[in-house]
Amino acid sequence: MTDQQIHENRPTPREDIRPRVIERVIRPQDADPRRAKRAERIVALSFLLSAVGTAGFIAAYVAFVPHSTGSAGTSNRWLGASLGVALAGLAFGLIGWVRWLMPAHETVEERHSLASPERDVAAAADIVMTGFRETGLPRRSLLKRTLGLAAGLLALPPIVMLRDLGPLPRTGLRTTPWQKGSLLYNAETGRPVKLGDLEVGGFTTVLPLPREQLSEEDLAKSAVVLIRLRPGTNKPLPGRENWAYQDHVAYSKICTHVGCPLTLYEKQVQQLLCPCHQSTFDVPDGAKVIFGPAARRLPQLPISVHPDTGEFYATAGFDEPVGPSFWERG
Amino acid sequence: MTSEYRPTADGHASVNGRRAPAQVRRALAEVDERFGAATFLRRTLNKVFPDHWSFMLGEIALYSFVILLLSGTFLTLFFHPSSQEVVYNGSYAPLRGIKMTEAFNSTLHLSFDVRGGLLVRQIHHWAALLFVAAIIAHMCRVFFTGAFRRPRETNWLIGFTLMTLALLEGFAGYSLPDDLLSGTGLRIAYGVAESIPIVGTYVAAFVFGGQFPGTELIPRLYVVHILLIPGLLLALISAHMMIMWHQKHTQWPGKHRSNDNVVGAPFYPAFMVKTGGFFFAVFAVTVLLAAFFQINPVWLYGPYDPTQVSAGSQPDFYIGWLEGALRMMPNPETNIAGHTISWNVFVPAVLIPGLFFTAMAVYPALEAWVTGDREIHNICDRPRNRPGRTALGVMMISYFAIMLLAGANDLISVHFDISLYTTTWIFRIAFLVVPPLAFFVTRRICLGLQRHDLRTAHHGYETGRIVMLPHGEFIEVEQELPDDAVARMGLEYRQGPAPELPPPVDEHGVRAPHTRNPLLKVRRALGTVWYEPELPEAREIGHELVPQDAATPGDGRPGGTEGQPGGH
Repeated sequence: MTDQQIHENRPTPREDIRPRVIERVIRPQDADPRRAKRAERIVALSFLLSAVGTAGFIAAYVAFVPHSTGSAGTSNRWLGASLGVALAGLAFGLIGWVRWLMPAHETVEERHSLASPERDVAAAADIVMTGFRETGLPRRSLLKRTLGLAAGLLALPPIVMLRDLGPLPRTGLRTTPWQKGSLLYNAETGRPVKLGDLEVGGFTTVLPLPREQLSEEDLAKSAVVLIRLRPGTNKPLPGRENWAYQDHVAYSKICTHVGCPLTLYEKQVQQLLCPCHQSTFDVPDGAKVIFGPAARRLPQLPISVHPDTGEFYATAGFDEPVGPSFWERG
Repeated sequence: MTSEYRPTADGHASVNGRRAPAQVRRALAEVDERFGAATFLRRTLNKVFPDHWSFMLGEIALYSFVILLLSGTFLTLFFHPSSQEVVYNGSYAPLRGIKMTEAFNSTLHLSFDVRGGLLVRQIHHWAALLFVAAIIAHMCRVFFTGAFRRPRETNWLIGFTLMTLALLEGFAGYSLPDDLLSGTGLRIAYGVAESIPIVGTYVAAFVFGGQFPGTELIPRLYVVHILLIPGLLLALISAHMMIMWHQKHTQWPGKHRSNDNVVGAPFYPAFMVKTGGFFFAVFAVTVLLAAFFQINPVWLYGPYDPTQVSAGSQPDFYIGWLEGALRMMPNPETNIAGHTISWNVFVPAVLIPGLFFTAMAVYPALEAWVTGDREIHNICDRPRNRPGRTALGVMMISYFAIMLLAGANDLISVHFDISLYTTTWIFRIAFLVVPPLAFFVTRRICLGLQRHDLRTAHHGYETGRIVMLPHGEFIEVEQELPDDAVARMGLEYRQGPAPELPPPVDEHGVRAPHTRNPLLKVRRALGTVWYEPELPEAREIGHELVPQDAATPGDGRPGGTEGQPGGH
């Protein structure tokens, strides 16, 4: 038996009731009852303040019925201020009570080893091994393997059942509602955009259908920006000479980085800027990336104008997927 | 050593010699017969808590979690996690007649038409920020003081898991109102999921229930946010606390303090009342923030519209570093055999966070392996006494700080009138240069502080008073250190230089393992990060302050130090 155990087994002397004090701390209020009384009053005042705060909270709840923007703010401030006082009063009182009125002596407690006596460790290991042998698993390998198979397979159903979390991606990331002949509907007004609607340097968001007729998924991928460049500045890519119409160009509005909509157009330099991660696209140069983390140009939508109505229309859909890259994109 | 703890004449608590009233004893006996609670109570109520401000950080995290549970429960009574489209006709005039999802509509309703709703929403958001911030600060304190070492490695892993879950929980909650800002965050999350090689397209489709945005995600995030992650957090916090309670706190070095005791205030009543008061203090701060500092005003952002985004969009700070990583990454993308890998997204948003978080999780094991430290440690290291670890920690913090700042590069550009592209380049270069620099500078500072401590311990404080001795020599008068000062420096816990290696070839002509085993070579090489050079001051002082680890190499058995110094 170690010294430690002897120490623990002997009857408890009275002085062991509380942790051993190693350094007495005597504050002024410990010696002077008047100072202690004053500390008590401060603590009590703090508790009273808390009670007043709670009463104020109930009063504010009844007094301010928010039914407009302004009154919601007023209600919020009064409710919060009164509840804050109620909580802060309690906090200050409790902490003051401990700090000023409870004994401040430093006490000590021995740490005992977390490890069990060696005998117990050995016994526990023996029990584990004996029990394991009793199960017969070490010899009965047929049992072991079939149990492993059964238990292992049981992990599959929860995984298999995740299959219906969503449809397979299929062609969803490759297709948009844009097709040959789609009119360019202004995203705000819902009317087809006509030649002359945009000033030089103008910029508007267009959709293949009025917004109400698009699902959220189609809306999220079919937003396009129609931009009227300064005359003669457009430098079409080879093979795309007739994709623009009289300095009007149309590009996907969905950033090729992680898919934020490109809402910032800098008219002077004719650049589209993504507000999320600042990828910058040079619109007259086929919307190529000139700065930022995006890796690819914006997909271009070929457009033309009906000679009769003057309405813009797409002469074809997109010839590549819009939005961020993905593994199967190619 | 026991003699040091001899109590002063009347140092015992006032209960000494008095018996508890019969009613109290009877009531306790009733409970004890059924649960055997008295032994447990006796031990628990007398538990000693060391007192130091840095030990409050974990408490702040715990109390913010309680506030989150309370405020979150209230919010569930009014929030409807639905993507169904409705037209708003509540009290907030500017949005009346606008189409929005029921999630956003009910968020507006609970903010403007439920009394106290806005307050509770803001309490919940502020408490969430405080929760994550306190966890990070608490992790830093545990890291820099070495409180993760044996026997506390498991609690480090649990704490690390809690931190990761808290980030996910925060992101899920912040996405629920379906406002323009949070919808943009989800759009980015979809794009990030798409960037994962091979499985990304499927991961995105399964998580969102199809193409972006779909109608499935909000209800799914809701279950994750109010049931799944809070349940895990609750279970893991309980385990974290129970293990902490059982293993007892670490404490700073000082007079009377050793690896085998705990010095502080008893749990009952002083610590119990103080920590209860502290709960109300944390709660009060959260409520006052919610009352006077607006947070996440979703009504100003408006409902989510996939064709719009507001400029200056920033997530909450604990996601901001990911945003910054995405912003400053250059733009490589490869296309091989019909398969696209977006390195520009995958590296900053998946790979780097994965590496950094893995590093955090395995750090205790790595340090123990490199230094061969298998001792039980109950004394906190002063960060300066472990220059390698402290420098690594500061390096990690600088990585996160740069990424976080890069997440605000547009605002920095506006407010400091620097070109946007210049800010990006500054952060790109800083990301490569600053962290290694931070490592070396921190290490030097730590060594300098150690040398200063050693000198002070040896000579006393410098007074600046020069005295001429009778024979003409000038000396500076040194003032003796107060009683406790040297003990608090913890000089015996310094890292110290690497242990001597055995000769490469011994007298029998056998080559030593460290010359043959490549793993041991790696270990030796990594050791240069942790071990320090031999300090001239340490040599001068000699044996009395030799680092403990070097003086008593561990015998490899857990609990090896137990019982050595006590000698009852």
